[in-house]
Amino acid sequence: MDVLVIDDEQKIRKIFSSLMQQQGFSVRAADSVAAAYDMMLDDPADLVLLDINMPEVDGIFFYDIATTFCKKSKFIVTSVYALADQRQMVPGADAYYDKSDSLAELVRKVRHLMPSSEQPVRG
Amino acid sequence: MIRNSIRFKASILYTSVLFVILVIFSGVLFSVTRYVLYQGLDDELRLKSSEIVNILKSYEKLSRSETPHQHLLNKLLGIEDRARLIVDDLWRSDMDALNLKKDYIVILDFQGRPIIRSQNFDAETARVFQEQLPLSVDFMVLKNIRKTGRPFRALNLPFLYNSRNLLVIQIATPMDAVIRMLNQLLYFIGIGILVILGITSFMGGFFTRRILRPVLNVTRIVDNISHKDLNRRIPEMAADAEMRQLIRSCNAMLERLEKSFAHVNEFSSHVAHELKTPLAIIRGEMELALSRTREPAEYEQVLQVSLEEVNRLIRIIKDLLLLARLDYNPDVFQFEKIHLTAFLEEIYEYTHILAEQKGLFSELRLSPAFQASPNQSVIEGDKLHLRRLFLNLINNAVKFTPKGGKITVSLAVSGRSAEIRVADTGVGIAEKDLNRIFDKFFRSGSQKQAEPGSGLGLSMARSIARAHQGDITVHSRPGEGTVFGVILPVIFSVPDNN
Ligand SMILES: Nc1ncnc2c1ncn2[C@@H]1O[C@H](COP(=O)(O)OP(=O)(O)OP(=O)(O)O)[C@@H](O)[C@H]1O
Ligand SMILES: [Mg+2]
Repeated sequence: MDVLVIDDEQKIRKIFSSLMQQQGFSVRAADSVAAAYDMMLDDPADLVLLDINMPEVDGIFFYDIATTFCKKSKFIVTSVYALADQRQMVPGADAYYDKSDSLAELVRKVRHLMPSSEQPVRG
Repeated sequence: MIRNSIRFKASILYTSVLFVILVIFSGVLFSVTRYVLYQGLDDELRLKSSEIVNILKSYEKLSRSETPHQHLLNKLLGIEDRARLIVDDLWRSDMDALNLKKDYIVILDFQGRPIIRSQNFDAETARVFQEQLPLSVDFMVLKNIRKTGRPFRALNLPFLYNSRNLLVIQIATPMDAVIRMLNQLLYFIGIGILVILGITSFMGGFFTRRILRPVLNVTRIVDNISHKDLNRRIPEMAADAEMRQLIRSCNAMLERLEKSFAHVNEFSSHVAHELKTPLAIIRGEMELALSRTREPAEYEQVLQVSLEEVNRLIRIIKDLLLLARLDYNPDVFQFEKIHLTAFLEEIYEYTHILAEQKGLFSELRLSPAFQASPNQSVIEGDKLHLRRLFLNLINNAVKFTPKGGKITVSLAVSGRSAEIRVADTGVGIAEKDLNRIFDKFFRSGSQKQAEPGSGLGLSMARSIARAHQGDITVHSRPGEGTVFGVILPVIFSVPDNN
């Protein structure tokens, strides 16, 4: 399974990428919606970790577009907003994660979305 | 009714004004009535006396013997005696019409000796007459007298009998009826005033309630507006002009409240975002590091990142606190007179150092007019905060200008305002961002990744400028550079003696 991390904050991208690699996924990272858009057109990721608040084009817009042509991809909204607010801003995503929660929580949410056939290899 | 209410006051006012009017009106009415009634009584007395005199005179010829008037009068007064036979029906009816039964009548000679008395004229009456109605042989006298407590109207009228005898007729008639009438009038006036006042105070209350109903309606609507529905407005239609003004003011206030609420909401969500991001990074780094054993270099890396983020947090919080103080607590400013040229040189020194560190050129430029005239412009300002303002602008200029660029600090004074410009040849600001760069936390997208910052610098600069009755302007062309202008009021220009 491959994961796409979209976040404008470089340090967050690094943390999420390391975490996903540890979980045994292949990881790509994009620092903007524009970059992410190209990557998704190229090769849709199975799982997208999507930040909301980004300069230029925000995650909400990306979600609306990407879900129309990547029907198989799962989306986890990862933002510092409270979960209820996230749900309101990006309705219909597969999961929501508050970036100030523990990474274990994110792992739990990712695993929950994974098809049972594809259990991760622990790193 | 609450005593301290417009309704209460209005109805008290109505009622007391009306009370005064009614009392004056009734007083006049009562006096006029009394005057008319007394006048009637006097006329009646005069009429009676002259009738009696006439009757006496008409009998002058009839009998010149002894005392003709004695039995005539006796007849008038209904006294039975032998002369009754010569009284014809005409006289009787005349005298009946005079209705003298209740009156006291006496005819006196000019020395006050009674000649004729009515039958009811007893000794007591004589005494009362003597005391209260002194004989006057020259004038007609009208007077109020009292007999055993009862009020009488009395007349003293001198007349000539048989063209030679000077006689006086004194007659008193009871005033009970008139007084009873006046008392009754007074009673009705009193009752009338009370009833009218009662009705008006009720009506007054009723009408003020009607007039004030819109106020109550507005109050009710305003009461029901909470922070959740600040977008509600009070409907303006069908209100009176004054009310419409009130409603408009309320609505304007609601609008301001709504705006500032929206602003606060947006601001706190920004704050949360800006504060949580560094915390998320620190937490993530640490959790990741702890998930398995790492090399010392890796731990060092984690500590490095964490320290950076902690510093970022501290800076944001400091800036926010400072901003809050700048915006809401004018006392933080300590104003003093500042000589612009000296201050500018200090600013430029800092610019020069920063620019050099990054490999930029820098220049201080004073307007030719300013240089030519040996004047020194003085502003009233807080040195510490003004320094902070310019450092923010200069830091931005340095931050957003690539190596080899140039930063120019310049001063122009015109009239009562000075403009200090910080110009750079850097990346510039996109047109669409120009009006947002002063917003708290705003950082233009393209710079966000490249340059650190919290986006509070310009908000702070503007707050400081405004606290000095000044402002900040910005002109920019993407790719060519940016000019920030700080306008400050000059308090006076003194000749430069140095
Ligand atoms: N001289 C400049 N040239 C180009 N862009 C600028 C310049 N000054 C400000 N900006 C733009 O305006 C934004 C807001 O500036 P501001 O000073 O408020 O924040 P910051 O510099 O990003 O952060 P901080 O000053 O709080 O460290 C900047 O992020 C930048 O995009
Ligand atoms: Mg700045």
